[in-house]
Amino acid sequence: MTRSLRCAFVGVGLLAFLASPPVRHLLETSMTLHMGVQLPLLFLCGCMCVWPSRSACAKRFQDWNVAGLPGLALAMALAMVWMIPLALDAAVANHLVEVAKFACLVFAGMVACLSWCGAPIVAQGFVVGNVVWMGCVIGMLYQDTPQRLCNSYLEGDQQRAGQLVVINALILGCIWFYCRLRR
Amino acid sequence: MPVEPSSKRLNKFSSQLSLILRPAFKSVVSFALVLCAGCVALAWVTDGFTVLTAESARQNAVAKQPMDLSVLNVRDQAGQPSVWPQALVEDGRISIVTFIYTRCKSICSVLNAQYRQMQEELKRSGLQNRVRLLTVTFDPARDTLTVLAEHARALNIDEQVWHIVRPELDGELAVTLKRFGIVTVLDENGEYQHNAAWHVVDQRGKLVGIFPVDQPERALQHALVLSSSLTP
Repeated sequence: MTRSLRCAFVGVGLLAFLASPPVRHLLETSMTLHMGVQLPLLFLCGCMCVWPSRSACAKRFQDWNVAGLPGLALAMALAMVWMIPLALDAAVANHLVEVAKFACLVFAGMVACLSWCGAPIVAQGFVVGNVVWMGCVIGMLYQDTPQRLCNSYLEGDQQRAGQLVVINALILGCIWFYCRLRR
Repeated sequence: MPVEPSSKRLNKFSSQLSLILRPAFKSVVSFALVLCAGCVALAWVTDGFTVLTAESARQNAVAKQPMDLSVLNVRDQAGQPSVWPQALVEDGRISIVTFIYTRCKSICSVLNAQYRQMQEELKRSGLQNRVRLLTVTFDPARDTLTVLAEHARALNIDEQVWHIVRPELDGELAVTLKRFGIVTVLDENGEYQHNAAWHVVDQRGKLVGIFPVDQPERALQHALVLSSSLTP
């Protein structure tokens, strides 16, 4: 088995693990785990699942996805919707919304991965830069808001969630920077 | 003829332009589609860019579409049983409803303090036969009838205006809370964190308005306007 194929299997396995009721329940008991762990991991699952076919797929959609820009915009829009407190509450309260959340984020991960490979460094930098500063701003807002944003979660949890979102955004920025330097 | 060269030049220019644009054209279309779809999705989730939290979403939803209450068997501080929403319809007054638990030291005391003011205001202006106040405990296990009676005495509740009630069946309470959109979460100290608001229920037993905690006067105003359309 090639390395990239193994990557896809790990992605599918991780998705099955995240979707299993006990893990899902555990990650959704707290806003920090829900926003800071479950959502990014679902996105990562999507990326890993399409990793083996990334070049083939990217070539096929080349005309419609010049420089990966439409795809990256789609992935960012899909991920952004699930950062809204209202959507988090709805996902906890309603199973259908929960399914939609899983589907959206995995799909966003797939699209992002396929678009990323064809994207020039300027486009990559633009996207990473945007995600980092947006993550930091959202994270700081979550920490500073005096009122509870999610009815399903405690107020202290909201502050920790904000901190983790900032940390995640910074980690993402560092990883990208490190990868560029190594090339 | 002078026309030919200029049209030739135009043709040449447009063919060059299309040569530059053709590869990007499909992507421009897909990018525009993504942007449109993104805006539509965002507008749909946020109810036309007006709400970001579940709390304001439920206020909007009820304002647009009044909601039927589910059946709830309750007993008030005096031990008097009644069945919602039937009892609310028979009473004929507009009700303002809040959900609390008696040990609460934060938001519930704010609600209770406001209710006391409303009670005095209603009595002073002789409107107690038009609007009534209802407090529901969502912790019936610990808020027994004795506890509620004690609570009512401490708050100086006037039974003409204000009733504090205890749901009799946990299943019915859960359905009611879900329908109103009240979520209670236990924190590490064993206390509840819960969302709170002023809920206006009309004489048909329908939930017609939800107002944020910091706007009790709007809830009272809404209830009074509704009640003025009633026959005395």
